[in-house]
Amino acid sequence: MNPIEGLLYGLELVFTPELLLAAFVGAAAGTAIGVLPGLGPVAGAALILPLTFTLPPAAGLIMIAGVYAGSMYGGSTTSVLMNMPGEAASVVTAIDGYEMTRKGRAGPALSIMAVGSFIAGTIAIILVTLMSPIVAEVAFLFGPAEYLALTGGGLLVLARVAGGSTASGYFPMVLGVLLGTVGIEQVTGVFRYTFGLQELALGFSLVPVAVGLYGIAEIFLIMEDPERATRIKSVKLRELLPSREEWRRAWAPWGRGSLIGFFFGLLPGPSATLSSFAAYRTEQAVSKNRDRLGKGAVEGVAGPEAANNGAAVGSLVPLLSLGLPFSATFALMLAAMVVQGIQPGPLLIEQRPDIFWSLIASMYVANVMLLILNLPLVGVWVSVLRIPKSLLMPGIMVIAVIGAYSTRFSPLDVWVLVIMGALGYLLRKLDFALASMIVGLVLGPFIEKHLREGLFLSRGDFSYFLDSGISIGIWSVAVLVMLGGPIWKLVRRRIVGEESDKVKLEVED
Amino acid sequence: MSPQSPTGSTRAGRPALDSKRRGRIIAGTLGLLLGVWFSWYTWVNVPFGTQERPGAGVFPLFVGLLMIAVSLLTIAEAWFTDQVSGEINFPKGEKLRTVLLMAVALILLITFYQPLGQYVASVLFMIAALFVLGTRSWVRNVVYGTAIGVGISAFFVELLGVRLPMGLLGPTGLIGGLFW
Repeated sequence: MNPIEGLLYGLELVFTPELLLAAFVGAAAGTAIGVLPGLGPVAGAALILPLTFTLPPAAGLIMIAGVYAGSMYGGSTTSVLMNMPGEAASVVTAIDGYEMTRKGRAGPALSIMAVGSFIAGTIAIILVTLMSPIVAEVAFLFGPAEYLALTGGGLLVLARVAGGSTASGYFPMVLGVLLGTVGIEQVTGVFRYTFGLQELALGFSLVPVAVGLYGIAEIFLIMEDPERATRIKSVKLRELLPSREEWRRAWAPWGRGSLIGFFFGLLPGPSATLSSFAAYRTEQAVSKNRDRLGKGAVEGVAGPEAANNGAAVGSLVPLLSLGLPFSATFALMLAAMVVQGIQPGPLLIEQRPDIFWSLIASMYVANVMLLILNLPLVGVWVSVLRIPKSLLMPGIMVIAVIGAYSTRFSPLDVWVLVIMGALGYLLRKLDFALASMIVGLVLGPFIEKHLREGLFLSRGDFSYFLDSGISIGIWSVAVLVMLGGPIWKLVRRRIVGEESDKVKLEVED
Repeated sequence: MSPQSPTGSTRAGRPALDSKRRGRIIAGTLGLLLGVWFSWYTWVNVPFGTQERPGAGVFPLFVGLLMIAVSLLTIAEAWFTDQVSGEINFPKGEKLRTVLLMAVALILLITFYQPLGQYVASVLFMIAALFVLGTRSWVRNVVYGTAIGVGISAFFVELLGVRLPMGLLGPTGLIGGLFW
């Protein structure tokens, strides 16, 4: 089946009442989570994850895709209406989005955001559809050396790019990899670091770790945060329509943002956040109305919003074709797939075309769902912020406990949730990057697997890992990013602009 | 970046190590201890195999050594540079009380999660949390806490069919046993 037939097949599979309901619930829950400051895509996906285990594989994955896209959109909504970005990728949207709101153009800003996300999603889906099978074909040529370079090198790059200072990324990354070594060793069946606890034999589950690090820690941070006096602006349905000029000015930034976002999505790191800054930077450089940027320009909303959505979809390429999650949310998606008995990678497209194509189609359906849901219901989403924190926070905690317990029906996981909550709280206070810890926990066992396979094949010869041009190339890039801190800083400023320095790129996407 | 003397004061005489840097040095030291213990434990207890057939200990030992290295890096970065600096704003006064009480409530929730069961534990937790975070009105807290606790539990247990501990309400529980 060629890519177009595949996508049509995926759409056919997705258009069932059950899967559309899953997309609806995911998009709605994701948007609600996204509008709450602090609770971003990772916490959202982690909270929803255990719920998906009770569903068929496709429905579960579609729900997570909906949460991801929804939380991005929800975060941008509060950026525009209240200058309160719900998550890191929405920070740049607040610059011009909030200025538009102050000028009485909140409705058009939200419409441009929603339509831009939809267009970017569409373009990125087409590119993913075309690229994934090609990357999967190439991946058949990969052996343990190339996979080790991709997983190990990718993790090193992610930790360096996402972490702020060098230690901020690497310290939690190694901690995550270390946690990943606990449990039965896959090849020889040796019990490692279980200390007689039967429940530890299966290792640390990702759900309590992710929910604890992001969800519980964040709730405690919100609790101690001073009350925000939020004067919420209401937007009426008829005020949503942009003017003809606003439509005209949005097209080019949508296109540019979509492509920039997709490209960033292919790379390890906080792609949605970085791409939104890169898109803003591009508009500053090439837009005809660049002098209006920062003062409520349509371009400042259209470009970054298209970019962060393009990146979200673009990240599907490494996940589906290579089995590599390059962000914390996709690490959770990988975990969901593994629980459902699906192993992403080059074989997925041949062995489970239904899952492969329905997941791609599901991202598209999630986008359509958001367009249908979010504009008319913008008032509902904003009213989520009116729910008293005293009701919301403990409610989320109860859901987090249910999520942690129900993953493996293990009381130990509930304790892990709380311990990780405390650890996440402290690491956040100390400005460490948590995304690299979660990806480290997920990729650690893969790195070990490829290392062991390579050593078996080469009879213990470590030079085997640098035998191929591909692995040398990947390691070279990783080393360059690791050691070239000042160079990277310069490149980052060139590409994504100095505004990104103002934002901590401890990222959730 | 500003070079600091290891004694912790700059030439200008102001305190050199702010609380964030001190915190990172403590984090690095704990990481260092973890790395040393982990490497030692692996070396002593986990088989290493042969060069042709490496055992289960090879990768963890590498990770343990890496933990030592990044911990030293964390300590050095905090000690010698101000790349990450500032004061850590821990809650004080009323906010500290709120955070601590909520932490205690959460720990009590998970301690008694299985014996009390999902419904009872979450209702009690919600009521307690509403007292800590919300109003002092008994009636309001009990009504809201019960409604939200039961609502969330019923959504997962009854609607989604998630198997959660039933505790007191289960067939062998103190209350459930009377009705099952």
